[in-house]
Amino acid sequence: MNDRKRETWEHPWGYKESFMVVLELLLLGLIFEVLARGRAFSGISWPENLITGLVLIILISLAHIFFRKHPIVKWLSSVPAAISAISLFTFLVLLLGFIPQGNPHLHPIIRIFGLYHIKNSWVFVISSVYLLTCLGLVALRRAQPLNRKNIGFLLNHAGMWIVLAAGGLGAGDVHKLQVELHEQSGFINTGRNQAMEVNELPFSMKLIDFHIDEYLPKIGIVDLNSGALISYNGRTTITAEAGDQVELGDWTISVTEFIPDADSDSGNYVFSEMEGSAPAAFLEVKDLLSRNQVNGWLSCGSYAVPMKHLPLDEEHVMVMLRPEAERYSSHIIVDSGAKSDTIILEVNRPHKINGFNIYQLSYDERMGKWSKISIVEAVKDPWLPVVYAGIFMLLAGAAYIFWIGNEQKRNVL
Amino acid sequence: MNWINYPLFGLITIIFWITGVMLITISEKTKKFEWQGRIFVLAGIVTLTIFLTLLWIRLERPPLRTLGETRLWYSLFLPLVGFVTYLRWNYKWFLSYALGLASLFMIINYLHPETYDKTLMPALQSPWFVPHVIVYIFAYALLAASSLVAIKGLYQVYYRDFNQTTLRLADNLVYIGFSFLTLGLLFGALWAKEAWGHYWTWDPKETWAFLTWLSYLIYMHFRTFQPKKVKVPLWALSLAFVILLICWFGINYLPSAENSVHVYGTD
Repeated sequence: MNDRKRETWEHPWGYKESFMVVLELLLLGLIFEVLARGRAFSGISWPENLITGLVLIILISLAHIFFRKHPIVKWLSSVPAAISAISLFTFLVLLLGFIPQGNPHLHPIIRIFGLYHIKNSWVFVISSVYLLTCLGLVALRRAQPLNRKNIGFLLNHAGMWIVLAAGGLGAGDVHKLQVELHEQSGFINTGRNQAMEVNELPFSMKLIDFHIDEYLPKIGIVDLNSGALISYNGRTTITAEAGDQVELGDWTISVTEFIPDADSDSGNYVFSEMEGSAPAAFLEVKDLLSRNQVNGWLSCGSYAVPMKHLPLDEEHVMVMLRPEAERYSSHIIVDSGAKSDTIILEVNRPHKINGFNIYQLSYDERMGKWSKISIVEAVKDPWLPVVYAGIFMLLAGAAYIFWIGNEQKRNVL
Repeated sequence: MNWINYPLFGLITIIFWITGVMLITISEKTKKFEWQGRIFVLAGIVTLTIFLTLLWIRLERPPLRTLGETRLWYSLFLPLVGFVTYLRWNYKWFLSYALGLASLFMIINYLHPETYDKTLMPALQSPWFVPHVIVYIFAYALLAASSLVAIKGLYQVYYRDFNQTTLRLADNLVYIGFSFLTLGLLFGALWAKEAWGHYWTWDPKETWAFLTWLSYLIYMHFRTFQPKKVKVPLWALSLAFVILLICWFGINYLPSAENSVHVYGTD
């Protein structure tokens, strides 16, 4: 418009001003953090989080309705402000990506500026509010006219606003309770949260049976000098299966016998129905270089059965690894008060009850497949439907970007 | 079918590709052998697809778990992207780049063979597993391609030979790649809710995937604001790829990622 170069802080603001604002926000957040002396921003819960969300929406809407021509509001919905807001957020996530979280004692700087709890730090809160302000204003600006071009834009920006706002504000309302169920115990209606405090659940559970299917155990060769499994061209283990003959490095291994449930009987392994039985295999191992052959039993053992290695020479010993779980599930009776159901709880298959989702989490790993304990987690997240609404808007927005691409830009160029 | 057959299949694939690229290159003016060249490139892609399919059947699980297995998918998708881009915009150099990079990944796989490991931990046994990883790998392939284009653009800029079509191609790749990246991230969130009880746990891999997403987001915003500026977006695009690489395999070496549920099995 005019040839005179714009002075700094003269409107319209560009990248320079945007990044100076962001720098100030960053400093402000760090000062807050130092003043708070390690007290993290603990988040807000119902109903304060709803009120905060509504206040944010009202303020952004008022700014949009009454001051949309004001240079500051214009700037907040401009691309330079957006880039500065995303950059600040990215910078914080970058710190999160590099600094291990939860340990304040790694370095004094990490402790003083709260970089060990970035998600709950003041600068993260400030950055999120700045990002939400920019996003909200620009989404409102493009909400009318609601034509084809703007719909894609709106889906992406409003969707992101909803996910960030509802995810952030709703975090304080998430209840996560771990419940340890024992096969012989009765109904349990309490669980422990992350602070190990006991909380009551609006339903009760009783474990009938815990069951694990296991993969076949793996067999590998350990270097006695380093104590580690040897990798032969990236291959460290083979699977024990009767009748198999495989090569691992310089050795040919034949599995002549494999017993999935075995007990040791004076050096031998025999099939056993007892609890705590472990897999065992009889191997013939030939050294291809020296032509030596070693035969013997191999077992990974369990809490009841001793493990057994097979020494190959001075430096190498063959070991069987504990089998990995293929599938584990709990047979549980769930009583919601109104009715009682028998369910099978499995990883990736949660069960819904009274506003909670229950998940198969873990078991007594020392006991392996003989575990009598099942650890389940009950999770309640009342804001989930809102977050999902945002996620589905973003999914639709991504589909839009895929189909339409950067059509607008093609016209610009 | 397993990794033992890999050298044979890999060799056939690479030979097909080299022949294809040579035929297409010598047909620069005459167009004489262009069709045959295309068929050879496609034959290479088909060979690799057959290997992957048979490997999947043999392993009794999707071959998407270890780094080597994801490299294999990458070697499949990058040529696909390259081939479609070449058909659409007639960039021969781009096809060569894509095939060259894919061949490089295949050679890395030959030098570092993988196990026959059939185990798949329960958390990965979900209908979300395949779409989540495939969508991501497709996004990575597209974004890697965009970075290649950016590097080519930088070369052009410094030799005063820059053409806006280069950046426009980069934009197209970024837009499509970004939409797939978004899908991967969101599929991951929906799956995480089913598997771990929360859609976002700031697991190191999630953090780095989000960082990758954010860096391409910055690029796209910059481009809409100042489409005439060239050097900054070209450099940004080259750098964004570094973050993507950290996310993809650098994460295995980061101190903050010790407890990640996403660290790939490399045994």
